[in-house]
Amino acid sequence: MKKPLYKGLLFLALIVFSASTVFAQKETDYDPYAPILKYPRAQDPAQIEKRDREIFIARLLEQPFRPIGYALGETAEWAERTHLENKLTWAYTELTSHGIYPQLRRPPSDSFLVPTGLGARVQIEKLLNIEESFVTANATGGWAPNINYAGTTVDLEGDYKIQSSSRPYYHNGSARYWRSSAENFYGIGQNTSRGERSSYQPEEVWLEGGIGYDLNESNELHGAVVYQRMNIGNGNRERIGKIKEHFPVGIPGIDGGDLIGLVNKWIHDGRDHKTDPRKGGIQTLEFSYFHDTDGKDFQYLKMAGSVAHFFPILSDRRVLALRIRVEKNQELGGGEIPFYNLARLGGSSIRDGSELLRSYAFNRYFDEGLIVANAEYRYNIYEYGNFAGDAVALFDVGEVFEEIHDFGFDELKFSYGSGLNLKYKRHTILFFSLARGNEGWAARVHTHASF
Amino acid sequence: MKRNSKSILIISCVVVISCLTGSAAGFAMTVEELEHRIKNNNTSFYHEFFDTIVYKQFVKILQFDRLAQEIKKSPALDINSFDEVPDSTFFVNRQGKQPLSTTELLQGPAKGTGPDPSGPWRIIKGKMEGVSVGVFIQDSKGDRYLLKFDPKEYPEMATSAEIISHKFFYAFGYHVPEYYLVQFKPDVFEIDPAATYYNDDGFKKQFDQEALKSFLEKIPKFKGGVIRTSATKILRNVEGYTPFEGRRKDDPDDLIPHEFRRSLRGLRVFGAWLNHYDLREGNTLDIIEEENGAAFLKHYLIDFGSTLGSAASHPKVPVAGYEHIIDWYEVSKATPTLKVVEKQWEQKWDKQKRQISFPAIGYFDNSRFDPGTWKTQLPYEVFNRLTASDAFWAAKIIMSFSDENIRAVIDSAKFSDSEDAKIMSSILTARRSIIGRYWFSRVTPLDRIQLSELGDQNDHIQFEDLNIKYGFAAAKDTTYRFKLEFLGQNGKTTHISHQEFNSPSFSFTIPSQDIVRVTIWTQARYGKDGAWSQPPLKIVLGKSQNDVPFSIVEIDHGL
Repeated sequence: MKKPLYKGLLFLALIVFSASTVFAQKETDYDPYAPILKYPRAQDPAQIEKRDREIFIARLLEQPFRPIGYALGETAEWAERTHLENKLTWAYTELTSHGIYPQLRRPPSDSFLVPTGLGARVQIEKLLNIEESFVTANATGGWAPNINYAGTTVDLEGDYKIQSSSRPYYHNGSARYWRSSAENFYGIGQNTSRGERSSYQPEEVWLEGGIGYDLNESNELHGAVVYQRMNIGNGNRERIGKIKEHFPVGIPGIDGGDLIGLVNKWIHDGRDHKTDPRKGGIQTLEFSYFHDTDGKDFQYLKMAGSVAHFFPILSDRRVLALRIRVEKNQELGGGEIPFYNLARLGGSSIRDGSELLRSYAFNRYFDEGLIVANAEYRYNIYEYGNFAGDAVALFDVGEVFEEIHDFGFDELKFSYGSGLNLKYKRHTILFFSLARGNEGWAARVHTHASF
Repeated sequence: MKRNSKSILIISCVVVISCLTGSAAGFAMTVEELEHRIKNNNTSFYHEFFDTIVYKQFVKILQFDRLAQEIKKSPALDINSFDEVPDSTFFVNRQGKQPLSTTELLQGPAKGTGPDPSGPWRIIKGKMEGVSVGVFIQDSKGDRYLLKFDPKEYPEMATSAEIISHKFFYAFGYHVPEYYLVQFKPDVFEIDPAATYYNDDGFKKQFDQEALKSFLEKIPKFKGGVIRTSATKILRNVEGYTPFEGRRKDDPDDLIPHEFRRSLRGLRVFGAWLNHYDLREGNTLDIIEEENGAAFLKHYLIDFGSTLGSAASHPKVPVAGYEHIIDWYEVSKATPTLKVVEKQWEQKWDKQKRQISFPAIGYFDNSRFDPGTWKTQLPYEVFNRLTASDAFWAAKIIMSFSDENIRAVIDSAKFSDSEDAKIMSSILTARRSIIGRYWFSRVTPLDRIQLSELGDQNDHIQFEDLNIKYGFAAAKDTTYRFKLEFLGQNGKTTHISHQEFNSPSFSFTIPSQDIVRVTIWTQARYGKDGAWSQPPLKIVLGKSQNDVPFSIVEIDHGL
């Protein structure tokens, strides 16, 4: 009897042990991917409606902009679907393949928003399919409404150049007609006042015939005989005085004049890129002589030089661009210098003929001599493929003077500010600048870099 | 309180049923009914560019809900109680649920073998949309495909990217069309007399022999005049694209705003791994499909030619992945600093002497890669809403691919130079770890939580520490701690403060039979001087009745 009891107890103990080992760690199973949503109310129709309503209310201020956003978005989509970009590129390429280069025309301005006109350059030999590669000829013309649409600026020009590809020398000639309904004039000298602002209407014919010699790839010598005929009228701009009423006497050339001149230039261009230089530099030197042909007693010598250099700072994404220009027009034989050929300072584009002093008005200062220095720290702030953007910290300093000994450091005018240069394939699309100086702020936009 | 609980329960049931059936409120629709209801939507790159870069950036300050999101992130709404994304028309758990076998991985979404290389392939039209050119063909079986090619200077780059990435995206769980790598001779082409294409000038032209000749000139040829293409099987019943924000209100199943979907937020992490900077609405397709007589809208990701080092028609630009196409934030950050220090991507590009070293790979490496700041080409709110637990979810799926898995997928792209495959493999393997390490450090990276009942009110929790599993931390230097909160039937709570332990499991005693809910916060500390992981992992145990054991009712990795 004892044995079976012992065996029975052992058997029972075994069962208990086995059960305890089996059931002691009973795993409670769950499916981690089960569709038991954590926030089931998120799918409740009443909640969805409430959420949509709350989002609408939270975005109430946006609602007025939605139709505009929608329309522009749809337009963008339409442009893509119709391959508009490709068609426009094709149209432009077609034009340029026939030697026609569309251009924009913007009059010199003192303000950010400037009316824009159109122009074109026609490369004659391409248009007429002329094979002779040693002749290049262009016809250029453009039109733009002036500030406040009170008049227009018109330019027409024809030029040609004859140069054999194997020879370094060339001959060129050009004829230009240019008229503007209103240009700034504040008087002559460095102490003119903003209150003296008047406007004049220049109308110019410029004829030029010259020869040149390419010393090497980056050096060029050029000499030309020029004829300039200038008519000056009163400017046409609202609320701005007219030059002949404002300055009835004492301004040489106020009635225009005819001049003949001999122009000599040396240009050294060692920049790595024409429109977006990051290293190298460009230097120019000019000696010219002018004499009247209509007895108005104009006779003077023009001496001018400029040096611009571009220094990459440890990287080509940071460039210090420095430029200095000195000009002196010197009367000869008791003659005078017409005011429209004097050195000019003020504005934001040297292409308009007035040197960079960006917080000041265009044509702010006229005088026989000029010294101006510009510094820009250009640094890349954006790049995505072919698109890029440079921020620019800019500084201009300059002064006009009658004689060298009139130059005084205390008379220097300053501008400082910043800019943004938006580029595509290293060509400026838009250049915005905002500058400040003694005469306040000036914001401007151009389709080219400063220098 | 009671009524509220009841309504939640009812809604839960409805949602569960609708999830399972694939239709809202359990009402199945036929294909015709759904087709009638769905309004086809359209988008394009320019449209998206304008919307995301210009319009939405401008109106952002007028959208107070978005501003609130900037301050405090919201959890995803498509997740289940266990912090996972249940299967839906957006996402199906594949690799995350159970690592796929190499065969399954290589098979991907393919159901066949692709267009028969022996031809004939009838060209239906040319493709100019998007950045890469291609042709639509119909093969001898009547199936339609879009053939895309490599740029001439970068043979194998775009086709490899497409073949590799689509397989990974499918394995992650996304709906992806069938892609096939096909090598063929150009004599398989026939031209449909009605075939047209848009030429480089943007004009519609007839696709004739001359067009074919000029088209073939742009494509790289391999030995024997063989051409390599990635062939995408054309999806039918296309009903537009998936918006990355808001809902498709015409879709009865689309109830959660897409910026609240983890499956879409997580694309930012998956995109970072595969450098898919072209993740955008235009690269999605909504398709009407039918299952068991019920029609639903299924959301596909398409076009993977701009992944890895490829931008389809050229290698990726150096800034890709670091900045949006116009990144106002980066521009505004760069302006006042005067570029005293160059940007990360600039330093990297300069270090490589601004050269593409491997044409078949394009521009792709891990130097200065930061998973947290990686960006898509266009900025989308849905990616901005990514929370740490969303990213953890995606990162653990990425981490689940073994080195062998990765190498096998890369090999399926058939690089002619094995060195390219080797380099690509090493980049993706290392990038996988960078992503895992980064996002696992933003949460308490514990997974596979298991609850066991030891009896006598004793319970045991076991987990897998992913930092240890993947070698980001050593088990011997790791400490864990937990704290508990007990909720009784009477609504009273009692707490047990932190208790430390060293192994990936711990036990605790439930103080009374009255306890109906236990909340456990668990943290890990890696290294002796390390900080406790934040946010703590929250595990909630519950039971519906007194006499049933506790079970896991919620897992939350925090925001």
